Amino acid sequence: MGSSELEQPAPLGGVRVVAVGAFVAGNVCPLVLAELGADVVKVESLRRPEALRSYYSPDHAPIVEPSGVRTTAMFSCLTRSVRSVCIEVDQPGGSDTLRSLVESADILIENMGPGVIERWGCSYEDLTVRNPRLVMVSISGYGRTGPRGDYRAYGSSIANYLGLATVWAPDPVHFDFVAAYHGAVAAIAAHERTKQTGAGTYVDLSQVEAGTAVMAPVYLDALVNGRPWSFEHNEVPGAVLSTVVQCAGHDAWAAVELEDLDDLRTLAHLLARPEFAVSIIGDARARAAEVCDALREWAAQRTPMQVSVVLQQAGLAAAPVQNTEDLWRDPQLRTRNAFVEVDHPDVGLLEQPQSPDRMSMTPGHVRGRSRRLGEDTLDVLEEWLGMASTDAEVLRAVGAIYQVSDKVP
Amino acid sequence: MTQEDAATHRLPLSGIRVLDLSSRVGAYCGKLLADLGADVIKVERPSGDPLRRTPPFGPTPADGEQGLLFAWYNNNKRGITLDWVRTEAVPLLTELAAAANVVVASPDAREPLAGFDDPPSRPVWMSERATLCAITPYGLTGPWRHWRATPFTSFAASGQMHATGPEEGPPVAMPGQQLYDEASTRAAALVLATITSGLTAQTVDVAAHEVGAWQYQVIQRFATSGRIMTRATNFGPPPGGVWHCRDGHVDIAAHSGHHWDVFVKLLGSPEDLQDPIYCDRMMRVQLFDLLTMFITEHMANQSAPEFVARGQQMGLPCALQYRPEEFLRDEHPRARGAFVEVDHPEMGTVTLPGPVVRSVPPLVTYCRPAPVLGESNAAVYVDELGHAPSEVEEWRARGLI
Repeated sequence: MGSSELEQPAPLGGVRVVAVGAFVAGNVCPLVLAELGADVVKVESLRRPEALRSYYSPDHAPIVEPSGVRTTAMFSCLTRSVRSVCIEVDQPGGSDTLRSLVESADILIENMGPGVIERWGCSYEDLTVRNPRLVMVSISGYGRTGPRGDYRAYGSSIANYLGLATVWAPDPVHFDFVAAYHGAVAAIAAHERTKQTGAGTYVDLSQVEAGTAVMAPVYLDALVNGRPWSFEHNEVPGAVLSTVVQCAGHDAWAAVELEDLDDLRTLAHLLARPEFAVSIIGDARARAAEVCDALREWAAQRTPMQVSVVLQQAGLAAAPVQNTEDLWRDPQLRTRNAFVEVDHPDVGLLEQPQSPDRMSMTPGHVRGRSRRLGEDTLDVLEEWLGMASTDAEVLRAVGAIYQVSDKVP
Repeated sequence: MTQEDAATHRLPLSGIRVLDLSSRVGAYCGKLLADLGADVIKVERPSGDPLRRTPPFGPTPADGEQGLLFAWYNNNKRGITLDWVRTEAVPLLTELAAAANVVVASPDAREPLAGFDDPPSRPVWMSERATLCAITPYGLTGPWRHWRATPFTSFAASGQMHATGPEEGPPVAMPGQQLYDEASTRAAALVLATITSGLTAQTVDVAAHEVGAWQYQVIQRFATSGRIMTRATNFGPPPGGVWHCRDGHVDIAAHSGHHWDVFVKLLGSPEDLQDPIYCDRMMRVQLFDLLTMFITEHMANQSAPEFVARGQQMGLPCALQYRPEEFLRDEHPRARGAFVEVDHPEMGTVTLPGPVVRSVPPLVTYCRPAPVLGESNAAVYVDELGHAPSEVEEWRARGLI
């Protein structure tokens, strides 16, 4: 984000992205592009700050920026590497400023409710009059067409609608992330085509369709053979055995999967129960149940890490069921420097996950702390639109834009 | 051809060749690239990809190996065989890689790729110019790099499982392999980024474990408060959550301030929900048990589809809770063309999810079913690489292809 960044090659260096979005999907998609070097501007409103800023967090007391607007650790994590521009679209000159900004951008990412972006004069048709090269990625729960195309949705809506809730859990954010990653793929792919052809693309990306793709393993038997998913929790189709065993320690567990009969024999020998390995072909499932009982007894005397490493040394698939703290201490993540400290004037110094987008020459990485609301408004209007400071002052005076007055390094 | 025609007909990755040597952890990456127009060549060992033998199976499995996971993860790809664990495969890998812009691989100590002995150092058979995209459960470096993993054990380690399931345990894994597919999706974005920037001469090292740890932001949460998330009931503010209705279940996601008012109106403004303190989100967290008692009774009288239809009209984000097969019968995904009919050479016509991205003009296409084993051997080895059919026959006799 600073000028030093410009000197290093970045895969999306020079690509301008406007993000008009909220919650998880609307922030994570631009974040992925920003940490690959795109210049991403998040358009916010002081009058209607997005919900992620004021979301109740059980992990910290309310945090307030000098402007009076709230923020959260989660917001600072999901909007790092991105600049904040404050535009009030319902004030005179506000929607024109937003439109000018998008007209000078390569990519627009939005996940507003049905009809909102159109009311602001920023439909794809409006925007491409002056920017035919624009790539617009519209992320929504159900897509912008179809019988449920005008539905409002959050991650939990989609987890319930797609059936993940009944086979697992009504996860509140999972499909936001799934859609955000697919949105990043679509945005870069469309941008690449624009470089080839000069023409833009409108992408109607739905959490339902992105979710359908990653849910395919649960759907395939029903789709092709009419057989609904009927597996117990932690049962893996085709595995000889998949189980979560209780280990020594508080709420301590390890996951073990035996993929074939060789694995079953290996485990039987490891548990010093070679009798299970004899004539194993007969009824593998019955044998697996017996071996599983022996495994439980054995695992109860050991910690999840002891269980996992001993089984791994024997060549079996096993892993500790890690909780939040285990993950924070995780030797694999620590060794690979998967964390980064980010300081924020209001949130404080916080350890966050570093970008997992490892590239040997141009690794994705945190490009800067999350910004206070409207911290970069004047800079961006000048850099992107060449707006004179006198014109910006006029917009500021009528309340069409907002710029934080205190500059913080 | 006008510019508009060109854009309409051109897919973003047409002309890009991808060599796909990945296992199931990276299978979805190649599929996404193939959907976007890349010529993706899936390289299987002569015994066939393990997903061919993994259930669920197609309608007539007795006739062959009809793993539906293979059919899904490899549609739009071409397929050849090569026993890439054998040193003799190195010359052919060299020729194949020379024609490719991208190599996708999932190095695995149990099934080592010939000539790729020391990851993250690159395979001896790859040019410096092409992108190597490694997608693995734990990454190419670190103490767990050789750990054997399945989608089930990877999910356990990722931090997403411990807080899911009954309070007394055991924790419950998400079915399928969504963690792997999310890693593959991010990897596809990175491959696209190398292509669009021309910064192709590098190695991508995407670890599903890191993608999972990143995703749930548990590091940030733990670093903030030291709180360990548990399987205890999550006291989110009512009316958020899943409710029993008389004919089904609905999920309500009431994240914004005004959603409480909309919800109360939707129920016909019942007396017991009128106290103005309930408009405060914090109060609703505090009075979770009380409000849950009131709301349970009101929701039990509702019809789920009617509640969702009326709720959406009034602006309340709510959804039907479906079982997977119920979703597949819903008219909405059908109306959006979310599924494609695939004419599979061995299974006949089967329905699979279609390419994810809807756009104008289209960025993706469906053009071919997953390959039968070695389907494109002659096309690639003879027609493209110029080997004599007799040579190919000799490799086959030696079990190399």
